[in-house]
Amino acid sequence: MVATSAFQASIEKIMIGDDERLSGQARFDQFLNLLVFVLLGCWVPSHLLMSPDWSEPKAPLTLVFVLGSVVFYWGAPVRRRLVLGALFMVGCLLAAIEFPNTPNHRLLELVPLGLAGLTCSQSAVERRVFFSFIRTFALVVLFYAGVQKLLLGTYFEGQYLAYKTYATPSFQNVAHLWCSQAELQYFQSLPWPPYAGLTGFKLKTWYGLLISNLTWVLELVLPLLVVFSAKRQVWLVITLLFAASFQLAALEAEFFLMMLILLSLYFNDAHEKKLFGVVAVILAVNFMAFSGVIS
Amino acid sequence: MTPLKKRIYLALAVLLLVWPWVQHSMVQQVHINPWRFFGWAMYAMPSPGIRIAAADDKGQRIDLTQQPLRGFSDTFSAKRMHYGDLLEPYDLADAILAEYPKMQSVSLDVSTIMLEPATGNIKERKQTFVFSR
Repeated sequence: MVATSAFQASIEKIMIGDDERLSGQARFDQFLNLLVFVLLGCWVPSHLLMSPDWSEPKAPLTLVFVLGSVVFYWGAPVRRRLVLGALFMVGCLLAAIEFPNTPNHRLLELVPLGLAGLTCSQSAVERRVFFSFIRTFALVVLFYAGVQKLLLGTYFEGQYLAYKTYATPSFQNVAHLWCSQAELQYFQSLPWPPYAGLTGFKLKTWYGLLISNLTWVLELVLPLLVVFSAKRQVWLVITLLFAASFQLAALEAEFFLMMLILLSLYFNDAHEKKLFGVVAVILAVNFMAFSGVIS
Repeated sequence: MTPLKKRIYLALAVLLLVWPWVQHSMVQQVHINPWRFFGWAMYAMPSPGIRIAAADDKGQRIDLTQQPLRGFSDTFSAKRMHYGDLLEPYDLADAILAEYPKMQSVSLDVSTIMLEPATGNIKERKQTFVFSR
């Protein structure tokens, strides 16, 4: 009975939240402003600014999202929920058009957007449930990323990092972190595209094997530490640094920005206003990189 | 908070917790693309590559690099990479049989190129589909 009630208390702590500071109306409004800003910053450059194809529905849909965002920011506050619902519908249409090539981070964007439209901003309980759910969702994503790496078995001997070093230039740029010079030369000498019979996709350096295995171990352990450890704030900073370190090779700004704003909800104090600046800088660098202004 | 909202949150929580296991099971059983379908297995396994070879009923190779067959072949490859064994090349076979009216049957070898975790080698998994008129 004691074990059951302790378990129940833990679930309630995760689902409803243990932090009174989460339920503030100002933080809720600031978070929604930030969320829509991130989505605008990610979708507008990729679907509207960089060679938009008006024969495809993505560009017009993004334009509708921009118009909806204008109403969200500058329209009557009473219509905010309605606008959020509309923005969510636009996001769902975008995901449906992309299917089956819909990126996983689309779900990371749509869940908070949809639940925000569902949440009555006047209710402290609803705000707390909303925040607790979406920040836990971010940790669940991180945890499952580790579970999948464990189950698919491509990190024990550095197989995946070795393959990506062969296949992806952005990984080659930072490959010295896990490859010796000889390994890097070997991977760069292999022909493209890959064919049956290509061999040697395993790392041999001790630091390569360490990085490879630390990746899935940290993905499994950090979410648990953020939820259950007394030193949550420390583990949270480490988790954010870990998520940021992926950007060195993967260059997945959209995924990282969503993780950043969702995980930041675990900070004791509201940082949403400060995050606007951080997000703007990351979006600007990302845009310049993809448009060729910087390499 | 209304009971309906509670139910929505609960259903979503269950779905988000259970779905990655379903997706993983589909990766294992029918070879869907691990990167896709919201299983959070990005950067866990390279996307598979697809190669297609077609032959007529006499074993003569059919050129899939010319239009209109190239379009059908590319479309099938792009979808097969994501749907795995759930997608069979009916449309491509129909297009080939329409392009060559005297052909009685067509054989399609669909190869999936993938990284084998145990060996660290690239391996090929081939499936053959035969379609008759």
